[in-house]
Amino acid sequence: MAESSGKGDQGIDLNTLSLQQLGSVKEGIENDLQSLGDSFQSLQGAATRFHVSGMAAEKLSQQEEGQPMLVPLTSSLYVAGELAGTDTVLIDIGTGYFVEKTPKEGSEFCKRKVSMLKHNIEQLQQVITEKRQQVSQVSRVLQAKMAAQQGGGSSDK
Amino acid sequence: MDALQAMRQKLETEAKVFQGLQKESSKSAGLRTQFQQQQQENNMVLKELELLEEEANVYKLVGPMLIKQDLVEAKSNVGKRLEYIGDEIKRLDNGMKSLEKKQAEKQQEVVALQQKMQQLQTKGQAQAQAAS
Repeated sequence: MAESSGKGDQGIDLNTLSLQQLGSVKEGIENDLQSLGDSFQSLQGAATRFHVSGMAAEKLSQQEEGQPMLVPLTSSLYVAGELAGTDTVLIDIGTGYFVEKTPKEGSEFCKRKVSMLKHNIEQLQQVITEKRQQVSQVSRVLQAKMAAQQGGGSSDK
Repeated sequence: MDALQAMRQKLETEAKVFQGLQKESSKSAGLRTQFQQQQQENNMVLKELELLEEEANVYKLVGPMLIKQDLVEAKSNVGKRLEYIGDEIKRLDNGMKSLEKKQAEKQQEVVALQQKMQQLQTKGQAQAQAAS
């Protein structure tokens, strides 16, 4: 959807645009880049979270039942507890649905999500590179035009 | 001069209508992205549910509680929701199409009005000059 405003790459010859139009095209692409960068970061954050969750599920399966532990209530308050069971974990699969899985299945789920996110990140990376090229293209034309205008303006005087 | 005044007023109201249309279409676009996100999430959930064995325990978060739910029921619920979201997206698309058409029409109207006003203005100036 973000591609719709990327009109600088094809169809329109950048040299035919006015300074103002070039400026707004550049601004548009830069805005797209900004939001794409934000998405990129949140995707990466999600991938890391899934990775950590998968590791936690795996670690849990190695623990024994009745193992004493400290349960975090807040980031600074922990309560003593005991591990009740390591056979099943509850996985949030989205939109309020939770599924009981074994730790192994749970970590597989996380791995699946991580690979999906990685795939998306790669695709996004491509789009971002393209947009970056577009921006540099537009700003090159913009600078050339500005230089031409300044040169023309000073020779008039 | 009265005609010009009336035209100016008309132009103003038309421009306002146009702006209203613009606002409406951006609202629809926002709603559409929201629905699209939901669609994607629900699709993901459905895929996960399809991967499960029949006797798997599925829970649904209702308020602060987890309620146990039948896998078949959960699947059909997610499927129904996907259907609803798909319909809603279609409805929004249609609405956006007609809004776009209306917008283009209004824009033409406004431009035509502006041109008319300009003509009238230059005519009036010419007349005033001729009179003086």
